[in-house]
Amino acid sequence: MKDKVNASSVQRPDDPDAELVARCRDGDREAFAELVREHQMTVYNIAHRMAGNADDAEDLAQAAFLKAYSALRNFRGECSFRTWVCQIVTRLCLDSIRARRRAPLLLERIDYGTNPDWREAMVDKQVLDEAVAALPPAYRAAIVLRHCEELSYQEIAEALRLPIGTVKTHISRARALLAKRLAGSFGRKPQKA
Amino acid sequence: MIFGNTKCRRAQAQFDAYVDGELKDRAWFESHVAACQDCGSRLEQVQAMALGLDGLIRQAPPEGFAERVMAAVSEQRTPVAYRPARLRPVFGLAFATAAALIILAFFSFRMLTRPAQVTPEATAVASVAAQELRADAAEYESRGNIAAAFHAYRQADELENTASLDTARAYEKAGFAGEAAYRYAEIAFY
Repeated sequence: MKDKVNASSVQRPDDPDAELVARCRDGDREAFAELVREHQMTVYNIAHRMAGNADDAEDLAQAAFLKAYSALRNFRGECSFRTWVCQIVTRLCLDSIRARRRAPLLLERIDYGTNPDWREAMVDKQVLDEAVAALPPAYRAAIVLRHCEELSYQEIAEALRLPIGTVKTHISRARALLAKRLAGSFGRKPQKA
Repeated sequence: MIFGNTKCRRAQAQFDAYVDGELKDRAWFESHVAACQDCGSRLEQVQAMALGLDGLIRQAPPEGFAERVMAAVSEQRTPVAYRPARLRPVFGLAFATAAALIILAFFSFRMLTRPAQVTPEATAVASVAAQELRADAAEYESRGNIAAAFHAYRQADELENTASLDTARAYEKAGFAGEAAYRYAEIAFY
């Protein structure tokens, strides 16, 4: 029957989670539990990188899954489920950061500078983590989605609801900014967590 | 260093896309970089940065995280399936009208800042939905599910385009001091 469209037909055909999402919409909670287990690492990692501490990360990651569950009816499969939950958790994180501090995006041109010490500093994972954590939130989100979650520019654009050109600029500026910060931190001991 | 050459500027704008495997016209880029020592050494820096960032360690969720999420989910209502073709035309029209009224209410409030111009129907639709959300939120709060509570309170606020004391308190309880302060400030401002 033409008028009986299955929920899965609105899902992206190449989304590996299409079947789970369809089952979930039919009220199968176990299907959602599978989605949570499958994507908990991604969602928690983004929350942790954005919030900077474990307590807020767990609250934000849990809130993201709850939002995903309650908003499944609005999910039209224009992107994959994974990209969609990345979008939800990133936006929750950016919202929670917004009120705490407004870190302005850098509009001027940034380059890597002439100090090569950043390469040495980058070897220390804690120093690198601190430098990433100090990035403006929008830049940090783009870097985390690219390097931790291995999303393509197109997927990052969908997750952050930004034009692809802006994503490119964010990533480019974030990397150059990191080189500058890391060069400045070379030889300094990282802060104790 | 600022490149003066047009070709170098073009190549420079493509460094990150190239390193990330997102550049389509690789042939021109590669031939330019092979011929230009300055661009070659700069590209090498971007490659080193990207490689270093690939080493960022993913943070694993704490033990029992998925179970805690599902415990919170079990307190929620079952989501309604998205089935556009099953909607009868009369319901579709009703939903479209309700959505249009809500959007109208939102823009009327935001752009004109004169509540008198918000249609009573739109306010009523938004208000009923917000009341339900607040009831849910209070229920979550009473069960100690703070994350779900502040989420529901915030949704209710967004529907009514306001900042409520409940939301601010829920944020505070959830440890989001900044968000709480922001809501309190909004309340004071209004």
